[in-house]
Amino acid sequence: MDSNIPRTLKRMVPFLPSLLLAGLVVLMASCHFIVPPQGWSKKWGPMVPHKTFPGDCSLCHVPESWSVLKKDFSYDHEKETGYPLEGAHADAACLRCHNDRGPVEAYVARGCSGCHVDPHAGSLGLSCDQCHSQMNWRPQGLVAEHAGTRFPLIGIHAVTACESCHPRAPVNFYMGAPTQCYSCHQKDYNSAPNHTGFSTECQQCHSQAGWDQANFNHSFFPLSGEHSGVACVACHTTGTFEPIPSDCQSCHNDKYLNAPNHVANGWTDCQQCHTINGWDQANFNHSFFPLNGGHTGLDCTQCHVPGNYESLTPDCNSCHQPDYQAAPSHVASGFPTDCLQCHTVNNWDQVNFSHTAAFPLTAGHSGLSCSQCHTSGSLGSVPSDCNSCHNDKYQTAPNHVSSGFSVECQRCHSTAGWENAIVDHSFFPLTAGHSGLDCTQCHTSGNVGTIPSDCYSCHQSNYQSAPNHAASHFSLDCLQCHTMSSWTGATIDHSFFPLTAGHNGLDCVQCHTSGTVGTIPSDCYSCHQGNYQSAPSHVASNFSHDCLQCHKMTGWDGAIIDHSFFPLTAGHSGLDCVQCHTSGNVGTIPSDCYSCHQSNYQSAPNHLSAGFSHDCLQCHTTSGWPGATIDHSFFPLTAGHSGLDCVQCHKSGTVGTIPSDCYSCHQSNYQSAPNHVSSGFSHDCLGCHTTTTWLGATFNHQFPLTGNHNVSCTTCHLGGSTSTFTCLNSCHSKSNTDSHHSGVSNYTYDSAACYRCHPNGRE
Amino acid sequence: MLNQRSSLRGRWCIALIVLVLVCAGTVRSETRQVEASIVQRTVDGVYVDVGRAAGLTSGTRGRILRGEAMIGTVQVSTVSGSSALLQVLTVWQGEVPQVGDKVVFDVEEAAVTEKPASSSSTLKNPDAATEPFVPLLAPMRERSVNVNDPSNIFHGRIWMRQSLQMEQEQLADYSLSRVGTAGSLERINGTPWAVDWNANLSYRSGDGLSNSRYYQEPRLDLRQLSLFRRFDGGSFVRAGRFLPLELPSVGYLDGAQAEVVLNKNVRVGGMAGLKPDRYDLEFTTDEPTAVAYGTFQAGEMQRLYYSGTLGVLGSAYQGSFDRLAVLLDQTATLGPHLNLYSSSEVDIDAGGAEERDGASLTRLNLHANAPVNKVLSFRTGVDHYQQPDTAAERAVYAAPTNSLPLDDGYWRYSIGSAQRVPGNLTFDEEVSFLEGENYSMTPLWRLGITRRGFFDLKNSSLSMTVYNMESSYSKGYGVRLYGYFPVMQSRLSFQPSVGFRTYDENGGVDSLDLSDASLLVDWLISRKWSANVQVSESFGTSVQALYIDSGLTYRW
Repeated sequence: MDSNIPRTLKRMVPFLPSLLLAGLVVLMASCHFIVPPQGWSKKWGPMVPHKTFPGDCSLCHVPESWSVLKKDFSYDHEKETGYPLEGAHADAACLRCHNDRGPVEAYVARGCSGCHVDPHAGSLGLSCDQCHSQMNWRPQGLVAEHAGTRFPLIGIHAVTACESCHPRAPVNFYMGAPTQCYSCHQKDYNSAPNHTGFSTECQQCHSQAGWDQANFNHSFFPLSGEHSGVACVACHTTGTFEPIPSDCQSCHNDKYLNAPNHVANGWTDCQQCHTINGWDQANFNHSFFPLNGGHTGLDCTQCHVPGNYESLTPDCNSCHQPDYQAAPSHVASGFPTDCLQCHTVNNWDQVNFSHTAAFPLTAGHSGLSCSQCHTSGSLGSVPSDCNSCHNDKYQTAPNHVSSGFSVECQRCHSTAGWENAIVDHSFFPLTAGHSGLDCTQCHTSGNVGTIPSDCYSCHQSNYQSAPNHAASHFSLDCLQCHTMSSWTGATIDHSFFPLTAGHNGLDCVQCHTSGTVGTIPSDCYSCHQGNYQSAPSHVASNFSHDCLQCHKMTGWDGAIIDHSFFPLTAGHSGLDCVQCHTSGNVGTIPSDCYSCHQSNYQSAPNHLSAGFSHDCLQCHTTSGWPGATIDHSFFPLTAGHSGLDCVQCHKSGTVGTIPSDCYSCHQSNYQSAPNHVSSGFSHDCLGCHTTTTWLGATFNHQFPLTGNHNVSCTTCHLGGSTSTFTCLNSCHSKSNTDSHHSGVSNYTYDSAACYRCHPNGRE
Repeated sequence: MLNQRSSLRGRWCIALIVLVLVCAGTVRSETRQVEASIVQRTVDGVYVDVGRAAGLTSGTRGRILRGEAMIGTVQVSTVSGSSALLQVLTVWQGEVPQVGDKVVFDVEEAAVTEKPASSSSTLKNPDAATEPFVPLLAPMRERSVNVNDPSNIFHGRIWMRQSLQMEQEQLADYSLSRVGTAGSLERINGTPWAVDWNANLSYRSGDGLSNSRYYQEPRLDLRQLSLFRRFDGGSFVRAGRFLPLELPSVGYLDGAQAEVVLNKNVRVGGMAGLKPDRYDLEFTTDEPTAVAYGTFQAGEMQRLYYSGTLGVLGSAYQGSFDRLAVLLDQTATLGPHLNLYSSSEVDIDAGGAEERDGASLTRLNLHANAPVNKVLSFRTGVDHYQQPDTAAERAVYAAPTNSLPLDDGYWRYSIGSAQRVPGNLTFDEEVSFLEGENYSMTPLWRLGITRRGFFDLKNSSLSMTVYNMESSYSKGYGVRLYGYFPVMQSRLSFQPSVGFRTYDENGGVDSLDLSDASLLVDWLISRKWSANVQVSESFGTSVQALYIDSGLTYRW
């Protein structure tokens, strides 16, 4: 692109004078000779007749000049007229629309074209806003807008000048541009090479992405190989591009006819030999008989009879029979006609028979004359087993026949030599103690034939002479205790019953008392029954036979009993079992306290008589029977109740529930108290008394007992009853009272009346 | 002594009381009522048809009466000789001052007898006090303004533009230089005549424009050069080269046009002349054309309104009668929720047709817009174009072989909707169907979303449009992001744009690749100068183009 910039600028050179001229015109236009400095000439008079304007000129004009509008002049065009002024219209001078060309209503009715001359002459309709906006009259996004037409602007069309397709675009007329490619590209079509006879449906070959990059979809017949770049008319010879047959011969028939043998052999499927990469480089698919090695590059007729390519068979002898016949010894030796056994396709002379596949000629067989094996003079197959050739040695070898040695010589012998036979005794490795033994030590019969491989077969004498083996019915599987290294030093795997702790070092018979090491029960009791029965209390207590519940393997003694079901803490700690398990039986005994402490309960003061609970833990702890504490929170023993002996309240000698109200215990105090009974005092003693002491009762007397009223209760509460009172006594005589109440309306000589008027006892 | 003092104090009190009573009675007797009518409502208040001459001063308060009922109170904020702008102080619940409501002021007699100021402090028109009040945009009334008669009002613009595209893959580079001007000279020497012009001179170069008829040659496009005169009552005549606003589908014409206003509903007109060359607008006598048209207009905009212009066009081409067309442009408003407009052309075989007999609908744009409310709107439309079977039209595409068939065109049916939702978001959906040769109701859809107001920039917006492409050659999808960010009180705006597309000629869907990126900068340098620069880069298969466009405009 960079290289194009100077070129483009160069193109603009002729137009530079025009630009300069235009600039000059602009400068002249800006001159004050033409345009007044303030944009308006007073000489012009008003732009429009002010007939339609308010008489109050100061609404718009400043006092100093007609040509200057007030700075704060504003006019809500939408509110006042119903037409909002948006975009460029918002800043436009009023007189651009409201001028003497006509009533503005007529403009508005015609829409944009009312004011703006429609350069499209109505051809694009009245919807100017499809391309133009009020922000900027200059159209934007036309490429996207063009997608709404019959011809979206794709590829090069998006950057093509409008007038290239719309020849009347310079005069703003865009309608009617045909959508066919040929309509615009006719010149390209005519100037393109070879297009004569081509379809005018350009899109068949060209794309909108680029005219030059024609890309006709010839995929139905790929134009690859030698077809690539061929002139269309080379195949489409008629000048039309109607479909032509796609078979090769349709176009290549002349070559077919001229090719040797093709017609005679009736070869019509060209693709069997030829490819699209070249007619001459026929590439017949000879894969059924690959033409490689010595067959490469041969002329067909060297194998095939000219004109006859059908009668050959793929075996070598078909062609190479003369070579077979002429070769030395082949016929005489009856060599197979499968030549590939010795020969390769690379070269007939370089025989490369591989004896390895049939019988590798290594070691002792190396260098032997063929006839040493092929004794018949024929190289035909001879048996490959050793005995076929070496039977004489087998027969003469010591013991082979008598011992019934296998005729599979290779089991002991190698091809390195008949001597130094090595017996493969891997079926019974002769290691450790068996290493170096003479064969006859095991093969006692002198026969190396198979003998039993189990230990006992040979070591029966050792077994029987070993101490206790027979008596103990030790297993005949000697390897259970012995190793191959030596008969002695047998080790017994006693892991099924680890001989640890107390069992370690015991003599076998201490457990295997019968003298046999056969399996004995593994439970403790089987051996330790004696300990169990002699142990104190075990039988009587019916202790479990699962000795490990208490005992350990380390020793019978020091048994530890899991007494977590009844923790032996505090007072129970250190007790002798029989102190609780009095019967001598450690079987389960009741876990409640009373079962053991019944005597304590019965001997304790008052427990029995008071009917104390048998749930000893209510008062006692496991730390000790004495020092019982009673939770008396249901009736706090505070103040006067503190330190009392139980029986002072629980008079019946029982600590069972007694009423918690004061009167129940203090009835005698109540009755002996002065006036309580006669005054009908409440049994709710706490109304006057406290728990500190019965004495010193306090009473909130609503009627102040001050002055002359500081008298004994019975002075006013006659009859010992505090529920009634009287003022009408010697203190307040009627005559004296009447005289004091002379003139007092509604006065009556009545105690209740006294109290109503003198609730405080005052005047 | 004490009694004498008390007697003197009493006399003074009596005298003061009498004086106050006398004065009070005097003031009360000098107040009178001034009646006015509301003639205009504005955002600042209401205008009444009396002013300083009637005794109103700034601060005078009054009552709004509708019939006999008082509906609110006002206070004079600005007053001129014969009108006043009132600030509405209070209105009763649900009431809105209307044009025609009466306003009663209590004006002191002294103020009434006071002579008005020689003129408004803001006006230098000595007759302002006697002028009748004419509100802004009110129906036209006869009145005279004692100002100079306007003459030689000269305004217009001149611009230069340079477009440069560099594309090396397929040699589609080109250069287009253009200088143009447009404007008008009104009230020539104080007469009602005006002249309008619009023309540009361009120069084309580059491989991409090598097929242009004006390749590497200056080309002048004269769009308009016409004299115009409007008569009282709205009639006008026009002569020269023009493109008639009244019936744009006539196209450019070198000739004359006249329109007469028969009454407030009907206008009739005609135009005749020579159509310029359809390629380059060069003057030619090949296609003489005459048009007669009439316009009917009735109703009130935004309520019930109709405007239609029907024209009959006849033209000859190279000496033979070639074209007879009926042109009809219509606009209708059926209340605030339905707008209709159409533009159509019917061509009738007048001797120039070769393939189509009789009448053919060659163009139709029929659209309806239904704003349900401020949130929701619907739209639908039918568009049709068919190349007219006329000798003049055939000549356009005749070169070079004259072998192309007429384009039978297309029908396009569309329906869409837009929703403005909270968050300054606007959704827009449209689906259209193309019908024509190789197009059987091919669906084309597009979805758009726009958010307005970014970074506290007034009028800024960001839009995304997703659309599909369907043609007989290819199909795919596209996405376009477009931003508009005005700064400096909209004097400088940045408009970035980026597009993505899929494209597969075999009808499959390819990956979405960047297709173009663009930045347009508009700069309103001053009231007179403005400039713009656009840089675009396009990407695509075998295409990579850098496009630079710059322009400079001077307005006066």
